[in-house]
Amino acid sequence: MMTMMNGGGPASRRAMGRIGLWGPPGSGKTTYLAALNIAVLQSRERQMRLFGTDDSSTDFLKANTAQLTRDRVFPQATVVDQSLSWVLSMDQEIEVPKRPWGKRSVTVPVEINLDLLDAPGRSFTDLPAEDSDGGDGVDDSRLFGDEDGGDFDDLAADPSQDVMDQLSGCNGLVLLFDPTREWQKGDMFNYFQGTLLEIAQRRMQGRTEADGRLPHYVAVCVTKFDHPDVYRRARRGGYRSFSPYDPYLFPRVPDEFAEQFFVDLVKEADRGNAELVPNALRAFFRPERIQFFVTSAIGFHLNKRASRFQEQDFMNVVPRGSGDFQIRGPIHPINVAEPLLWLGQHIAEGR
Amino acid sequence: MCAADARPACPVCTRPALPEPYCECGWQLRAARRLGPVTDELRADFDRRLAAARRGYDARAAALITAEPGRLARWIRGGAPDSAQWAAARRDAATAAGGAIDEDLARKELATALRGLEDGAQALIIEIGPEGIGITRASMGAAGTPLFDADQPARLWPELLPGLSGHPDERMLQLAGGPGGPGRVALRNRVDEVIQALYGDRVLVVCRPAGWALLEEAAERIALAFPGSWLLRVAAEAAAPGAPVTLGTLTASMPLLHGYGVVVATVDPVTGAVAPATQPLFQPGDVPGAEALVTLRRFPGDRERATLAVAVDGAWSAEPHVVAVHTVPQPELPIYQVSAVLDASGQVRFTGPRGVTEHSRPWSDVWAGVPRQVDVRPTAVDLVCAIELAGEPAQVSRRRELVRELLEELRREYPEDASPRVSVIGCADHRYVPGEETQGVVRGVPLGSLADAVTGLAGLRGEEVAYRDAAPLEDLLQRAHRMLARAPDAGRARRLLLVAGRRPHPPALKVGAVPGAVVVHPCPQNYDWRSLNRRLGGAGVRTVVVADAPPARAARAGFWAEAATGGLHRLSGTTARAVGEDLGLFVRDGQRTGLPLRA
Repeated sequence: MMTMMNGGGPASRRAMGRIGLWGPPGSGKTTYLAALNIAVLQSRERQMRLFGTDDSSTDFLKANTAQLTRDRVFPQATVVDQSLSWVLSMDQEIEVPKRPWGKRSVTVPVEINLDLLDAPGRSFTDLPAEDSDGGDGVDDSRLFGDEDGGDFDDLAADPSQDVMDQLSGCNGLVLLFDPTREWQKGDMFNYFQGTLLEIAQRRMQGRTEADGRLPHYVAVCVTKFDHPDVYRRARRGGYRSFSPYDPYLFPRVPDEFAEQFFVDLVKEADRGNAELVPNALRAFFRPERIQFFVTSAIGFHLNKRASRFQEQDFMNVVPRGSGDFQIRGPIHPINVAEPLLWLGQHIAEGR
Repeated sequence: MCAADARPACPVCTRPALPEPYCECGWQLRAARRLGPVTDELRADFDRRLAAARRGYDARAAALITAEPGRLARWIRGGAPDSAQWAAARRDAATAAGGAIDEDLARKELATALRGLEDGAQALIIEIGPEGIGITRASMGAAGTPLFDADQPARLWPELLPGLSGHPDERMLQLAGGPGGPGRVALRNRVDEVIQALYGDRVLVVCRPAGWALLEEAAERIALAFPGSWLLRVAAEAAAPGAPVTLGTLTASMPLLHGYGVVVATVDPVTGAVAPATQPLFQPGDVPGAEALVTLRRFPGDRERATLAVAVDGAWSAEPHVVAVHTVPQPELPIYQVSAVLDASGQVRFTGPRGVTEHSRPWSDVWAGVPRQVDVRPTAVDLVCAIELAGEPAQVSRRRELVRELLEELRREYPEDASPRVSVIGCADHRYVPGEETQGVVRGVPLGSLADAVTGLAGLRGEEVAYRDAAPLEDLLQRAHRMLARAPDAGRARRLLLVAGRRPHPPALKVGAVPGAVVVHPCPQNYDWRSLNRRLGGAGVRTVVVADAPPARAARAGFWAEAATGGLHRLSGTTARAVGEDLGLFVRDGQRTGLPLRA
């Protein structure tokens, strides 16, 4: 649920809304949330502030931020459902009606309440639980730099009805897509389809939108842009670009190319049907309410001597002798706050 | 007296009397007539003078033979001379032998005459001595050593002059000029008979001992027969008066014109080319009977018998000129000594160590079997032992143990003053942690003594794995290159032993085409293992790699293949000896030279 407020006066506006985090097991939801605080502080484009509305939310923010920055390890996976509430405050430019007709842009202080439901990814399975190692002896829940998939024995066999109810009631959804997992397991569409149908069933019951679509705004985040295999494809496919305003010259994939990049990524998978996801999204959600983003929670390694991105040494994750991974240096999240800002702006504008 | 000499003989020297009033021996043969009868007094005086003359004549001949007046008294007419007569006889003998040279000078003159021989030329050495006349042909061998060959058996005096006494003492007296010797004509005829058809590019006539009348006459006759010949009159050995003088001993006792040495192998530290050289054994001028002791060194790792070949010191065109070939067992210690005696020119006898035997094959066969290039470098070697220190403790321990065993082998096989210079270095993992990435990960001891290397190895302890997929082998290569880069200035061979389990870090991140493939972080120092391998190889550094478990195709491609220019081993299946052979520190079985080294 997101509430938008501007700083007092007749022009102040406030809208209530909720943003749900949606993604298969091991897609990096907890890490994404932990990196959000860093992304907010590093934002140069606008001044933003993020803070918790209750102790658990504040504690979550503190603990996971410390893990990323001080301990340089990935946060542990969320084991039980947690309802977190933060406030993201910023200056936001919105369009407001202008009498007698038309619209005008105004910059107003905005506060967005972010009620995020961080349910374990297991909740989104549409099929009976399978072994976490897929039967090949490899713990697939432990992917590149990702948090542990958690102890699934503690979860109910059936998907959490509460989670589905809350997701269906959200105004905005952040859908996390891990391309490295898709190459290995090819189960993205399974997770997506099952949850989508649950959401549609709950949201469409008794109320039908004019165009028959769900009213949600959906930010699809292709994660792990810093992974060598993902980055390589962005580079080879010509999706990579650099911003002259970025002093570190970290590469990015512009948002307008993010969906095509997603399609190219899923083509690499030998199995799975993730290429159906964009069509399914457009079938159930309004196209103008769907935006793809290419993100990285921890970003690329920054060579201190060079003080900018170096092509020959960009991995910010290091395999340790014990087999797990450690974050190599300071994190520079890429496109972590931007999906929430987009959701917040559009939900606030009511478009 | 020979029938041919039918003239009256001198009553003193018994030679045919000359027409002159005095005989050569000094006896007055004729005098003016004197008036009056021959009285008893005159006769007695004559007999007295004749007896004295005879005694003196015989004593002078005896004095040429011996210093003891009584030894040949039996053959002196008139009995043993008194002390005054003997003293006079000794003076006369010294006068007769005057101008003679001693044995040493005779050998030198002989050596000078032989040195002047041209290639293919022959010298004729005719010795006239108490036994008879000996003829020896001499030539200079290809190595500049004289080669003596008896032309024919010596012609003994009893055969040449049957009229000589059958008793050896009386015969010597006759040869020295005593009574009863053959006439001059008979002697000349026999001498001419002996030397007819003889030929030599250079002729040396040796009369020994000088002063003996018949020997001197024979020598002079022979010298005249060969114009341009050298006549050497050699005095009898002063230290052994009366000792028998044997024909052939002069040539047999000739000193060496050139030194002799034991053939050793030399190995070029850079190319490994094998060349022969000599370790001095006998010096020029050493005479038969000289003894020598030479210190040799065996090839590292070679415990087989070695060939002891004695060659002439000097400039060879292709291979040494060998005069003797033996074999010797080589001991446990790298250094050993061999003792020898010079029996004669070209004859060397080894007296130690125990077990020296004559070689069953000629030198030409032995030399043909010596490899002309070997991998082993017995001298001037710089060795860097580089160890990956991170890993399972047991595995790291095995790597360290291999290096320790190698150092121990080096200590056993190399003498201290020829030991390789050894460095032992190890690497811990790169730590991709802020503030620690660029820290050095290599530690150890620089090139130095074996003892220091052993101590340094003990100080290299195992480390925990901090980075799973690679080890800083590129840092080890960089350090090794830095240490070995200067070696060529000293003409040293350079060797690198790398003992590791994981592959190195690349110089830059490289993402493969297969999704999910392991991506290895680059070296924080930007060291490029491929470039370092090329530089090491280009600088002539031979690298042997011992890997914990090299991949199946490691020998053909990848880091292991490119690095292991000297050989790739699996840790569990190799030995320090095998590694050392590939490094060129120990001789391989198939590359034994069979020769010793200089100590």
